[in-house]
Amino acid sequence: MRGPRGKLTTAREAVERFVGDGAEVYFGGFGFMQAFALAHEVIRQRKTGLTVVREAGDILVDQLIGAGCVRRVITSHIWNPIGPSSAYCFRRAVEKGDPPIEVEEMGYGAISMALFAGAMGLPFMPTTEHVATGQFQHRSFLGDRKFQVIESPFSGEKVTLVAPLTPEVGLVHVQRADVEGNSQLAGPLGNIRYGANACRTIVVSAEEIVDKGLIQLSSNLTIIPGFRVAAVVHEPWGAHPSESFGYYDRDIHFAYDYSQQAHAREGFEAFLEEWVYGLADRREYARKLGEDRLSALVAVYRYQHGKDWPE
Amino acid sequence: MSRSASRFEMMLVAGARELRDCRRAFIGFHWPVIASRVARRLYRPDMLCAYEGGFVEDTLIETIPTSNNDLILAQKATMCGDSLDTIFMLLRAGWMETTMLDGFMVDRYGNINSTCLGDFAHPRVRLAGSGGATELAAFSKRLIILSSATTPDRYPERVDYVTSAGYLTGGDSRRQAGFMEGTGPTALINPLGRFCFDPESKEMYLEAVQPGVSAKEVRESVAWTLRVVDPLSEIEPATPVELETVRGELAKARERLYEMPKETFSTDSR
Repeated sequence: MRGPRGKLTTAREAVERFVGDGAEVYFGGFGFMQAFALAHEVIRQRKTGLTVVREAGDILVDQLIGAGCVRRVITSHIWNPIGPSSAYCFRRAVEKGDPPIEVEEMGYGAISMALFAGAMGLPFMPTTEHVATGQFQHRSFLGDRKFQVIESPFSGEKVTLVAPLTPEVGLVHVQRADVEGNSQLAGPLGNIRYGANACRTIVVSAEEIVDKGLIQLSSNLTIIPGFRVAAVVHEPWGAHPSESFGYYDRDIHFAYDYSQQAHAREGFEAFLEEWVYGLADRREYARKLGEDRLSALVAVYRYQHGKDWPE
Repeated sequence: MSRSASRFEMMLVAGARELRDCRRAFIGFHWPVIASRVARRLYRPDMLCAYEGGFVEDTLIETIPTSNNDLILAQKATMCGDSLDTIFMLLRAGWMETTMLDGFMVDRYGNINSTCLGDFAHPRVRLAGSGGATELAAFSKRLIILSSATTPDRYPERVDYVTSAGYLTGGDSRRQAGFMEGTGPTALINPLGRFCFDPESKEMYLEAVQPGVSAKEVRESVAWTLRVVDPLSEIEPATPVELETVRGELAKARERLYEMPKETFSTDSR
């Protein structure tokens, strides 16, 4: 796809085309850089039965669970780091079966290594010692494919292994991409580089679509080579209310208010109606947030709106 | 300062003192973020801090991050990489001197539960879960646990779910399970005192009380029969500058929507 629009499409088309009901889906982000624009589109299209793979859950996964999109989750934790506060939809699902979900919990390092193994095409990876921990003893749907223990052939020590995770589709947000899908992430990466590359199909949303020439001048920032990307979506503010390093800060009041609202089911449904179902796309979402709120979030440090990126 | 330190404030004062000689720290979520800021203001302005989100920084910024992966904290980072870089390449490989971790629920052998109360599949209360706390507890050579909890329901004999391994069932059980030699919790600091772990049995014992707290009160705050060192020492009260610094940080934390334990605001009658 070397035409002027390349793989550019809309969130609506990308999710329609690449996210099937029942799919195993990786959502990028770790507190920061969460793929909210794409996740909201998944909710808007009322996808069901998904297995969500997410190193660290946050309120993005909480919303997917509350909206009824999720059957299974593989994660290290799900909460709202502002406060901190509970992820109430997650709690309702696990404590009361509203709606019923299955949870497979691993430490953040272990799930990161499982995705690393997936990305690298390796049969397994050694990881954090887990013998005698809760994650090791309490297994859900992964069962024997969660952890195995071997004796190191080199030292004789016990080594915990994780099997590779290779989600069918990855929905990832980055700061900038070109129309071929070369995707760049600046600032801390969390585990987004390996998480994305572990997926068979990758959909990227980006704050900015830039010329390939700019990518070529700063290619060490590229975390996904274009040929691995199936679709590119231009979504300014696509990570809100989480932060996009160098573009905007975390909207802590939005995240705080979310938990206040999601504490009761009716409140959560009102939230979805107001911020997801009631809006056609991310542009309407940004418009609804308003100029004042958005300009107060603009990052004051480097990489500001692309101006100070290495070129 | 109009009043003496509350017990919660003393937890942060004592926590910060643990980092007095620390050049490189791995900072976990929540109160460790505040304690590390106090330590940098008072003792170690050049302390390097690493975080599970994948970055390293050595410059205190004015804005308090809402968590250790709030990227406001990365604006002066000296290295931004993958989570595997900080968790494995820096922490597991042994380059960090001290790790500070928040402990929601801690048992007799220093195992931390931040996953669930009751059975994992059908919990009475579902908590946030592991995050990177599993790795921090597994890899650290000097691990300081901070906990604002002061009641026996938060210090059970045995946690329902071991999210972060302490000394498991005591003795050499941690080593037997394959954890690296020389790792495991060093101390726990809470609003009542400072606790350490017996070198042989690995059981947690009371090493010092916070100012004005009795050993009896501490014994009643845990669900097992707590061993207390004799003679028991008292943690040095906060100096005016320590207290002022902690309160300054807590005031900013409130602006950033941190939930405060209720006792923060209670006036101490001492």
